[in-house]
Amino acid sequence: MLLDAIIKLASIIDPITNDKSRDSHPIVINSLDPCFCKTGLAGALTGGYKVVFKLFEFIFARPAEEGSRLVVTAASAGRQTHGGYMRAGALQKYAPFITSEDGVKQSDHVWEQLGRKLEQLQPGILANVNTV
Amino acid sequence: MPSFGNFIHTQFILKIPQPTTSFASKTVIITGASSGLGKEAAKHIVRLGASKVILGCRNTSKGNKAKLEIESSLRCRPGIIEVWEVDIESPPSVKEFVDQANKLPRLDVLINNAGIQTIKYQVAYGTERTIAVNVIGTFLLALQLIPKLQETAKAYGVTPHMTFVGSALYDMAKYPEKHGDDIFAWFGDKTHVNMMDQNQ
Repeated sequence: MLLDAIIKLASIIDPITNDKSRDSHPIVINSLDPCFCKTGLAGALTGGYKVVFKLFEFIFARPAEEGSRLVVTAASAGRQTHGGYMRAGALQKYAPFITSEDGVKQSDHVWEQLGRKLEQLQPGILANVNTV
Repeated sequence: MPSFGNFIHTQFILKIPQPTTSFASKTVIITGASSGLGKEAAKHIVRLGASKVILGCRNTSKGNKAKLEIESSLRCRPGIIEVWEVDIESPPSVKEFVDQANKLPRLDVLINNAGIQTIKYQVAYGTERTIAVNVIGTFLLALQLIPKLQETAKAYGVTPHMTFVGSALYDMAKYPEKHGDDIFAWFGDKTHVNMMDQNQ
């Protein structure tokens, strides 16, 4: 759901086109998977879940510092990553359910619903993205 | 979802290189920066020369601890790192944060890192709480900072970044088929949600 909205946002703000008349100072909007890292994210787990998770984490997780390198890499990556999703330091193809016709429809739907929700919470917020 | 082999590769074998791109003269905001990925990313960005790094945190005393830790480990000059309070579960808090950010001379990078994970079903913003925070809260902040990034792009001739920290498990999330007209309200009904699937 987060990705649906990110893709949509990137397609509205500074889309990658050959149209030279568009804004010559675009921004880059991207996302990434930072790998499974030992962080406080799962801190709210309790009981059996916590035990299983901690074991899993002990075996597999990387230190947060290593995951953070991927975050910083994405935050300084080129325009080719706009609207894209990075994993292990490289731009990835989206799963078919995102790029298929139904996936695009779903993205539109999520965007519309999210927009409605955001307008309720902060009236006028969509003006920030509809100025292009 | 990545295959098991791919998971083993990315967790054990893959060498993740140190980022080397300079952040000189840049102003960077990182949310959820008092611990975990956010704090470590802040450390790298300070090391890479950013002129200002703002740690957006729910809990400013935790944020200040992170700031001191980074400053002492890098021996950087004071004044680079600032701690600003923001709770993306609260629109007024987000608004205040945005107003403060709009007063900055420039904003080059926004890293939307703040997020939660829980197996407890809770409701916020009229929907399940991980969606409320990770999707709605994240966008509540992100959209309001887009004009500032665009303004920086024009004024300084640079390419600002907005980066979202997500998950490779995105394709595991079960997207409901019959959620009716309001997907958030649908998730706001406990019987529709299996908390083990809330990875977005």
